[in-house]
Amino acid sequence: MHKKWYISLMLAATALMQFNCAGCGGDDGHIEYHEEDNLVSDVNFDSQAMNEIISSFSSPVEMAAMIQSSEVPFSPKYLVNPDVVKDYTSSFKKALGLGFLSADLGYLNVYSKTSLVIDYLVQIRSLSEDLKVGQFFDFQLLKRLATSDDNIDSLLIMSVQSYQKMDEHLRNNQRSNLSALLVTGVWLESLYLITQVAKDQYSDDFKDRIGEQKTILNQLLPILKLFHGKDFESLVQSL
Amino acid sequence: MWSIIANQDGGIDDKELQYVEGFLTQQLGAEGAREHIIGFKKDVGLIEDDDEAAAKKRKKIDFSGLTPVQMSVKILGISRRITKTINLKQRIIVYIRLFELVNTSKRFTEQRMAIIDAVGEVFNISKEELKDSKSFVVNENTEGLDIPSILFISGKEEKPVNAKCIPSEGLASDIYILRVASEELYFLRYTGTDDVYLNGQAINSGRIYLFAPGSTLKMSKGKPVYYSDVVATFQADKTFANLSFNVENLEFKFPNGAIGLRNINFSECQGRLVGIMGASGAGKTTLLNVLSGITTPSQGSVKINGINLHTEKDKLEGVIGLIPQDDLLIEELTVYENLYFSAKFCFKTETDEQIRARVDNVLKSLGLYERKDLKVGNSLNKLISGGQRKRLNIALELIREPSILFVDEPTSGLSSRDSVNVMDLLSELTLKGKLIFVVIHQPSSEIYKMFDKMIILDTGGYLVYYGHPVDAISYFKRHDGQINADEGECPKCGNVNPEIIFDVIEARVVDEYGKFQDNRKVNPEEWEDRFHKGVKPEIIPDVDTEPPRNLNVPGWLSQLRIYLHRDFKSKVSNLQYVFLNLTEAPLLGLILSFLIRYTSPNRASYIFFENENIVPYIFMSIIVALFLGLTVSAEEIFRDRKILKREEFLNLSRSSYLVAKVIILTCISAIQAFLYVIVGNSILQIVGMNLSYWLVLFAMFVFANMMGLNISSAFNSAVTIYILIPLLMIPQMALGGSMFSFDKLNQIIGSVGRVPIVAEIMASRWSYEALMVKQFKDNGFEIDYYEKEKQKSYASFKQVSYVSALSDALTYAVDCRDSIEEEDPEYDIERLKQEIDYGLALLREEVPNEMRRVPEITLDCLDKLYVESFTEDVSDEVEEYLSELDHYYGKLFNLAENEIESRKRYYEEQKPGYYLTRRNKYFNEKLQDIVKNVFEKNKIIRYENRLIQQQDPIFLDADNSTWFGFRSHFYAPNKWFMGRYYDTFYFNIVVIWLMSLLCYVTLYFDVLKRVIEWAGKINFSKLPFLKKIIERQKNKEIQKLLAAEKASKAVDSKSDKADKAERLERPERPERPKLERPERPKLERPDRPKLERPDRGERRERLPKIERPDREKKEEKNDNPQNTDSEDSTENVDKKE
Repeated sequence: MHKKWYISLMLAATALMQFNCAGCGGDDGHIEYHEEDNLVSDVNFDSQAMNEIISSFSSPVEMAAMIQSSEVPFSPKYLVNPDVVKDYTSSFKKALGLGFLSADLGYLNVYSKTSLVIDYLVQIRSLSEDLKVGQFFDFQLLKRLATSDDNIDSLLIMSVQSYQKMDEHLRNNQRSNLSALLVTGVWLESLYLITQVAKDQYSDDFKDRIGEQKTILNQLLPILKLFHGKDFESLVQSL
Repeated sequence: MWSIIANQDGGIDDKELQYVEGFLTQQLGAEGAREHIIGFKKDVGLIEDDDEAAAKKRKKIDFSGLTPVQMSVKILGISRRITKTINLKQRIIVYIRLFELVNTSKRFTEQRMAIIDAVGEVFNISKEELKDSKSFVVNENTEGLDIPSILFISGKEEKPVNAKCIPSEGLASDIYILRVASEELYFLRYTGTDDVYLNGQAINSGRIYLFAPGSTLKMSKGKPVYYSDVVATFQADKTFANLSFNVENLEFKFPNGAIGLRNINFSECQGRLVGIMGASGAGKTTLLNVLSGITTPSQGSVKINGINLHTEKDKLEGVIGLIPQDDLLIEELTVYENLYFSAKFCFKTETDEQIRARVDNVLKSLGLYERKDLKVGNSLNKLISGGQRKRLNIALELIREPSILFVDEPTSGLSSRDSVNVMDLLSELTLKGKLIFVVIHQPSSEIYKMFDKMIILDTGGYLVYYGHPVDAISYFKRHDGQINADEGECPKCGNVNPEIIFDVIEARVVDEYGKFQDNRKVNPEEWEDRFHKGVKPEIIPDVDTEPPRNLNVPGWLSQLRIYLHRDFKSKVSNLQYVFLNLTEAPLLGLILSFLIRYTSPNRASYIFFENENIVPYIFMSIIVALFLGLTVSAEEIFRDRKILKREEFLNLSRSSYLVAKVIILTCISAIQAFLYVIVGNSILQIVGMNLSYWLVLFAMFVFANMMGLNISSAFNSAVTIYILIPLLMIPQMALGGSMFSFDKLNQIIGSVGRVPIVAEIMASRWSYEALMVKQFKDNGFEIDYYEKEKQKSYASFKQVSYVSALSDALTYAVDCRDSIEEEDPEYDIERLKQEIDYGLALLREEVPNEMRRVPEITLDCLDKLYVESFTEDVSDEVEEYLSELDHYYGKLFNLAENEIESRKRYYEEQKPGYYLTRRNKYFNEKLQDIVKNVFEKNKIIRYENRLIQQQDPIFLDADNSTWFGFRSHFYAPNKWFMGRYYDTFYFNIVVIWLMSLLCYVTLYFDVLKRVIEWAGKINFSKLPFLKKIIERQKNKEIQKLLAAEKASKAVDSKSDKADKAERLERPERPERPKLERPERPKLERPDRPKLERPDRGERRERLPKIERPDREKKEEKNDNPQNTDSEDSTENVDKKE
């Protein structure tokens, strides 16, 4: 009688130990990190210059409108898959991602692909929340605009305004690196879209546009070079 | 045997022959004896024995020609053969009869004595008893008879020295009674000439009679001597504790007012077996309940050794035992175990072996030993027979041998043999000095005679007889006028028929057609009357000493151990129960987690990060814990209620019982929670959180157990308990915080910025929050980032929402001020001023708080934030202050952000993909969305003059404005209490345990039960608004009655009116005309058209006059003397009516 007790108690004890360490087993991968004093000092550059760049290069919507007018059919393969963005971990990547998605949003809107717009909006929102710039997007309004065809112009204006405000905020808060990345992302994605379309259907207009981008790149690169960090360096190099 | 002895030393003589003939005739009757007498005569050689064959058949022994030695050998052989066939009791009787034979002729020759002695030895009768028997039979004089085992019934003054004595008035010669102790046999001998009757038959002197149980000795003078008196006298030697049981003027009223017992008076002492009989509904069980102390009488008292049973109950602990009619057994335990645990509770000092020996003894004496390992089962699932259940029921009380025992119908349902066994046991107990009351129905003759006294009740609780049982029969026969009233028992066989008593009591009247009517000849009151007139019962004086108690209740800890042991055994023995309990929790966990283990289609395998069902899983786990805990415990105490009732007499500690239950349930809960977590968490791959989940769920299980125990103890039926469960569960579910957001509840119960109070009392809210916070904050991924993310969120909120809200308020105030200055006629200045104040109020409230939080940045013009002093300078200063804050928070944000980013970069360098894999394994996206309140549109709200943060509750510290208050918003990562922050997870668990503790306290004090009883006692008719309704109802009924009366009475319409004027209240008067007018014309005109009309007229006049003062009325009367007289009289008559 007592033997049974002891045996069951032993079993229980071993089970309990298993229980506690259930998490321990997988925990061997934990890396220790010690905080360093790494205050990344920000870079100051002329807001004017930034504003110029922003307003100068064709907004994604314009780009898209041009693509559409040339009667190139819609093709989702040009676009970034919004889910991929979930795996962007650092704010560097997130800012770039935000730029990509915004450009794609414009493209979608031009082709009135309202069903896909929602996915992009959700990811844009998530990214902007992560970066703590969500307050500049009125998502309800965006959703409404993006899902109706007639308001392309207002969408255009709104997006430019939003970006400007956001950019200002970021720069005011010594986060201008993100601002630069955002712009870069938008520009990069628009360029990509145009080049892909041009591959399929060459036209002179496209050629001109693509050519114009070179000037913008020249304006962009110096700004990017101002930032430190491996990420920027590699970005600059690839650009 | 007789023939052998008779043949010695010269053969039989006349006296001996006479004796033998007389004996055989008396025993067998003339017919039956003849054959045997002839046989005997042949054996002793008085008749020629021709028939060889028949002689051989009779086993005639030819002793002629045998030497003495040979003869003794033969005799011994015969004796041995006889010994094998009869039992000791019978042997003793035979032995004495042998002596008797020799005694008749007094020829105590050597040979004869030798034979007798030899026989005595072979019969294995003890030497002492042989000697005593010899003395008894042989001696004629008092000296020889003066030995301890003989009792004298004597009228003489001299008392015997060694022998016992019962005095009897006027008895010339003594009666001697021999006691053979080993078999409790009594023999009677009388040498005198007076008339003495044994059981109604005259006894011969010189003969020895067997004095059987229930016998009565009646002398011509003096009181009768009963068997029980003789026994008691012999027992008086032994030192029994004295008991006195006095019942005086006992009356009992039922709650509905009916009288259950009236005017019960009697007295008893120790060592008696008292029977209670009566027709159904006479009040037997009621009497038993009152006598045993369960119910309190409305009048009168029950005193045991002078101590009032009902008012001084604690002094009589352990003295009383009650064996109820229904068996109160623990169904899951075996017969042995039931008894074993009951014994453990009664005998603190005995060792386990001693207790087991006791249990075995009792089992054997009740014939249950062979069945001891069978489970008891319940009435639907009988594993032992009904009779065995009953015997076990009796055994449970018998084992502790209380001094006063009450037994309710021990023999119903038992075979006659079992009944006798049980009653034998009880009467053995009385021999040990106990006082036993037995309610008995239809006793057999043998059992009926075992009682020392009989109480007979008649319908309505009347005591109609109290005295010796056999005398009862004579008494009732006498009252019935039956001829052979003196014969209580049958003279030949001693058989008694108790049914006669009830036939007499309940005899019905016969009508002239010879049919029985419904009413009785004599009703209960009359019987009671007759009894009180005839018999004066003896009163036993109250004994001074404390009553003996055989109870040694073990201490609290030991009781706890016993309860634990018993409960555990009873649970474990039910395999179904064990199996279900152990498998239910993990099965639920399996089903739940299996169903919600969602893998998104574009992923190769399951990723914890992406499972959107983890949050509902957490909530469902809590609900599962509640449900399981509740259902396991809901019936616990309810099931035990019979056992608890029985154990009331043992005065065991309620807290040890409850604690034992709690311990067992807690263990079950721990195991269930463990199994559930193991299964559920591993299927859903919740890593590293097992212990945390178990802690929370275990706390919830225990809380549910305690709730369940509370309702289990409070209600009187199982169904009610189960009906209550949804009422307990649904609020827990609704207010747990998962199904309905606290911010979106009805404003009456909602609170801003804090969890509403109704939800604070729900344990589910505490456990859900604990798990959500823990799962987010301390999982293997987030734990690296939490502190910095918190800082980031804080800074961002402040900068983005908080400061801008303040800034907006400022701007608004400035605009209003500007509008005032512009003196625009469109705007109302007062209104504008109010608006300014509205904006400034927010600043006035919030800025000091902010200055406390960020002391480096100050606003000096705080005192100037009022409408009058709100100048441009002030507003500029405030603006500057706000922008400083903005910068401050911006920097703070960047700091935190950079920390996080560098950490991420570092990880990525050390191990590429580390961040993502870790995140996918430990972190859940949906959970994050919820604890960060991502879907809330309003990140910040203004409530009165404060700003409340709605965003990121998981990163917001709890409100620390008061020292004591711990109330905070939902999903707070910590709780503030008495000056310190405590981690939410541990704080919440402690709160849940405190709630469980509170439940235990309410359980111990039976709070719920009392509330329900109190609610049941409310007299609804006394509530004010109901009172009016009831009265109105009554009045309507009165009216209807009166209307009916009028319809039937042709003449008295007048009187009705007058009556109504008297009886009814004013509001009804206006109704009268409606009722009367249609009727009067119809009824009266055909009958007395001429006479009535003038009356009516007068009446019409008079009616108003009734209201007027008396003077005028008298004048009226004087005017019409004749009519008034007659009408007056009729009025008066009717008034009386």
